[in-house]
Amino acid sequence: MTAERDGRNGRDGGGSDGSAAGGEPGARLGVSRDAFTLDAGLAVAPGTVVAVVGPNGAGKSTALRCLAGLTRLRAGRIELRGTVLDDPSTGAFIAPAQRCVGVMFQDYRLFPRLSVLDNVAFGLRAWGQRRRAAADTAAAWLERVGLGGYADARPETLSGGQAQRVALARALAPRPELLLLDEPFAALDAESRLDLRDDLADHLSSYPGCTVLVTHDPNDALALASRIAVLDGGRVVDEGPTADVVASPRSRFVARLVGTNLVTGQVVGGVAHFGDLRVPASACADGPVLGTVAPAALQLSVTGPDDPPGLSDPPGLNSGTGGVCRTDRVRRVVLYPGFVRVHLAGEPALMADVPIHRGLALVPGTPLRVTIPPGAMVVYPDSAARHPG
Amino acid sequence: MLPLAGLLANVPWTDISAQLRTPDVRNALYLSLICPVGATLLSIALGVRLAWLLARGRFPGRGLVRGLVTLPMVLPPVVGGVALLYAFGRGGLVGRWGYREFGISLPYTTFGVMVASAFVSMPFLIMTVEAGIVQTGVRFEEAAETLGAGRLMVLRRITLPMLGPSLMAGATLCWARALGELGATLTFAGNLSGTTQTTPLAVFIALQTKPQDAVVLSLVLFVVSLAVLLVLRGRRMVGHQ
Repeated sequence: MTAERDGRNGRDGGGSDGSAAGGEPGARLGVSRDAFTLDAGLAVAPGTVVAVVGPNGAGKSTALRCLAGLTRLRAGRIELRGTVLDDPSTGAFIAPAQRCVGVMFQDYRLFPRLSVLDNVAFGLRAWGQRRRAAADTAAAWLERVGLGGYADARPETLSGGQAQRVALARALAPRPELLLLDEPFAALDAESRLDLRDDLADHLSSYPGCTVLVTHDPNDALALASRIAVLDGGRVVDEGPTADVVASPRSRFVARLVGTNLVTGQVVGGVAHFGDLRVPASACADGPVLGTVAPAALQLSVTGPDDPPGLSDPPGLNSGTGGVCRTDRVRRVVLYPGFVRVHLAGEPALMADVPIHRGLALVPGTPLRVTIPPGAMVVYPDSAARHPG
Repeated sequence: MLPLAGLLANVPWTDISAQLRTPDVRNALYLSLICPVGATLLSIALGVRLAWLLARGRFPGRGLVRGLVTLPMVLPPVVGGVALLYAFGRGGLVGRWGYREFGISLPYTTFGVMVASAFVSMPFLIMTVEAGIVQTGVRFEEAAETLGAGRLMVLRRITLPMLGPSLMAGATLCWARALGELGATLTFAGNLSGTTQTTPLAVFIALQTKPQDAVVLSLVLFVVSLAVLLVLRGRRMVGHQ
């Protein structure tokens, strides 16, 4: 059985442009610095959160800095509610201080010489509120993030989680139209991360503006964002509703994050070819496709040395109940809590999860037979390859 | 420690107050009060901007400028004094014009002492402040900008307060160096009692004629230096906690 997914929706990452998004804030970001080039399109609807995920060096932080105005575009355009923030082609540029943009930095950057209250009031004062009014509003924000008693505290006395909430209050207090969150949980330990993720989700749900969240953790994106844009090598390689992107990844980065096997191949006449694997894909038109299969779904059986070498030759297609199988070898075995992940040496490289007692019997080089049960592999068109660039 | 013990052993403790009241000593102490302060203010006025450029500026020849700025630290002060003389003296590059147009002459004046001290001590301020600016980075300034703060507000509420500690340390080092300045001052501003004869100069002269004066003045300088050291160390230790 195969599953096919139609294009996620009309808007693919490369083509979206702020001006075409019906008043939604949008950005086409082009930055080049030294050897790095960022070329990414992004659109965010008011009241929604878009997560920008990608490996280190993918351009996530640069994208965020461009949106904040801390880095100027070389090419492209950033638009927020009909206002052009940056457009090198016309020379338009609005300085960070004039943008209705709030930033929560990865390291929070709370002003060390100001009290917590003055930190939160800083933006309000900068936007012209009187001292008294700014202090009142800031106090209300501190109350809202559960830090009402910390108004006079110095930032360095706060815990990581408290500092994060102050940073959020500080960014939100001036009521920005665009909120930028840079790795909001990177500075926190794993334990407080879970609670704070829920807290942040609550605050974001009542925030009417647009939010861009930069993160390398898919759990952040799942908990907070309705859409994901995957950035790799300075380009948007995948974009769509969070659940879709996670369920059927189009990039190795996301596949690795969610711990699934991702293979690329071609459909020819209703059969998907992934290296020497042939999987029925009658619902797919001819062309480039992706396939995912959960490591736990793969079945491994050790083949003895006396088994015929060409056990599954000709490789592949078995439309009966037996699924698809091929011979393979163990490349590496990694122990996880509750299971063992077996990395296989064949092409395309797959990984399979097996119970610990079985997995520990495997050593690198052990010959195996891999079976992909019918329906375990999900095949869908590789739309990124269909619309190059 | 031994030289200091020698100094302390020869202090005429009984008539120390009388020694301090002689006109020459009082003049020297007075000049040593105002000249290092003047040199420090001069250094702040000229040096902070320069430190800023060195820390943040991106211009060709920055390394060269930094080298030139720190040159007075390694230059023999006497050479500095000669150089100043040929720059600001009546016949010097700038001094000639200033004397002709305005009748201003720097050498052998109290302000000349300040200029000579500033020349020698400014690098201490510049280097300390530059390190402070580099260490602070632009993180907080960027955060302030994204919160809507204009240049003036960033400068007033973020940059200057953050600069405070390094400016304080730099100014203290600068002042201490100016306090002990001898070579450049002597060469550029001479040794006129009441006008340019600062305490180190007075010590130097007195040693040949009135060793008692020299010892007392040395004691004063020693106590002041010790106090500065303690204040600086105290600040640093507070900062570390």
